[in-house]
Amino acid sequence: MIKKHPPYPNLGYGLGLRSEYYDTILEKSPEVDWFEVITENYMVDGGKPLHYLDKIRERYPVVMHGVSLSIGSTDSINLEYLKNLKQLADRIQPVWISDHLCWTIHNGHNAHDLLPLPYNKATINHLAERIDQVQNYLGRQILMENVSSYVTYTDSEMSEWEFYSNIVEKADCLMLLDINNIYVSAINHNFDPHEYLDNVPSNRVQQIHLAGHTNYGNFIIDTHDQPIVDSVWELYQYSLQRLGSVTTMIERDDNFPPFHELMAELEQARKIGNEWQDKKTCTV
Amino acid sequence: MYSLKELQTSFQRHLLHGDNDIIEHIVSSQHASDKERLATYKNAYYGRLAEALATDFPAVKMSIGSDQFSKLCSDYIDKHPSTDTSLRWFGIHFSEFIQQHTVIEDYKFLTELATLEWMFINAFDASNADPVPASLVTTIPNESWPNITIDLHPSVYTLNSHWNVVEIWQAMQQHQTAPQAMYLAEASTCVIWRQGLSTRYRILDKFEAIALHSAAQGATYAQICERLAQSIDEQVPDFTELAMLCARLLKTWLTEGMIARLSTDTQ
Repeated sequence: MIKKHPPYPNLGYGLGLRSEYYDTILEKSPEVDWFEVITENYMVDGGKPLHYLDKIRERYPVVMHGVSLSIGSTDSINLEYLKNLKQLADRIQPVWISDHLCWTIHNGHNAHDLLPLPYNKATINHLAERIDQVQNYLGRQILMENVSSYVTYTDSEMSEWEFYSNIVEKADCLMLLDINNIYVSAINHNFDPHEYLDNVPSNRVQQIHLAGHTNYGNFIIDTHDQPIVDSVWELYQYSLQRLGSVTTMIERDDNFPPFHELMAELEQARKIGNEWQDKKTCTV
Repeated sequence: MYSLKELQTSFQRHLLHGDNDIIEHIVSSQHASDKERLATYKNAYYGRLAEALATDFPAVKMSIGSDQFSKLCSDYIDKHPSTDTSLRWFGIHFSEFIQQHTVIEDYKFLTELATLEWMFINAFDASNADPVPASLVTTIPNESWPNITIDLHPSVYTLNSHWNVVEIWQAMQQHQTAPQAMYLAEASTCVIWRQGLSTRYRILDKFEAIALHSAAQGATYAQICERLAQSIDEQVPDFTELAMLCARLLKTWLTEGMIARLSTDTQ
């Protein structure tokens, strides 16, 4: 039996750990509350990646964020992958483990992309069962993240937020809410992102991702290679009003800027979080 | 309604083969056409995998140019869809694929260059093992030496090349003009390994290459000396010199962190 939510603390404000910043982090010990690591990057036998991860883990709390659990797949759960996941978790003792609400692998072939699911009851049941299997194997609640999407299936029967909320309730797991992904999908599918935030179960939201995207005119792609845009910052502000203080992380995966630019974004997130806390204190 | 499995099969056929039966399961939008939306996924699929290959095989890419590399990647992606949970392993068949590809007709050295680059990747994140300190050899009794076997560090790889691929790779690493590809009169052996956190390489002379291959195959110290003796073009080799050569090589490997264990097991 998995422990009931919320089992995890609020970690504050964190960054994605990327190899480009290893030396800066170890040399300067920046004021980052915690780091999120891409799980698969450290599922290796040895060498630099694990060396740096161990060193950084000695100084900071770490959470693991995977991209290949493929929870929405119809292939069997990859037990070898789960074994490696658990092995890494035993080594670095992450505060929590997360992955994405999507499918990546089918018939043994990995698209290495976060592919969309149809939002219907059959898919909810399928995913809840598989999340349960994973949580039981790992002996802990996991977080599932909403992904950006560029297509809507004719087989979808409900909104994305209904689908997402139903799954986390049924599977008794937690949410990693990516505010940028909500924004990207809202533009691509023409819905109100505030409605999304208004309708997710706030007690399930353990973490927030903030990131940049690329606007291609008639649709937006979740590229994580640009600074966070004002509309996403505003949506973040709105999410705090709705959800309360939530562990927040800046996610940058390409076109890496100097470290101080990421720190500036992190400080902006912290400022928004603190302002919200102050307002809350004044109105109590 | 499609089952989830049917939907994923159809979607994947679109990604892998460009089949379009998935389109009837996509809701049309006024913002972008169904094909445009699906193209986002298809482009990302090829783009991500090609980028992984470009990251792992930069010298191959530089040797044949972006256009040919792009075609090579596209053919590889079609032939070897990823089956691993990590992109780290996507390039595992790349060098043998190149050997079968038409690109080899114009770039005969390319397989060896790809193999060299893949060995660097393997050495980079191979298992950790504490190297044997050079001082340990003084504690081994003289009578044990003939039966000593050498376990190389898990990151040690050797490449026997018939082309000057190491020089080509080295020049490209240093952003210099690469020498023209040349078929070597005598095959060359390069050893690649990780010392601490740094990946290193060097070209071996004929004797060191024989000794290292023998050690990797589990030969005892005495057998390594015998193989060196056989390789010397003299009817009666000088065994004192041979023993010194062997000891010198062992010392080099120890100093460079290439040895994970010296074992006196005789089985």
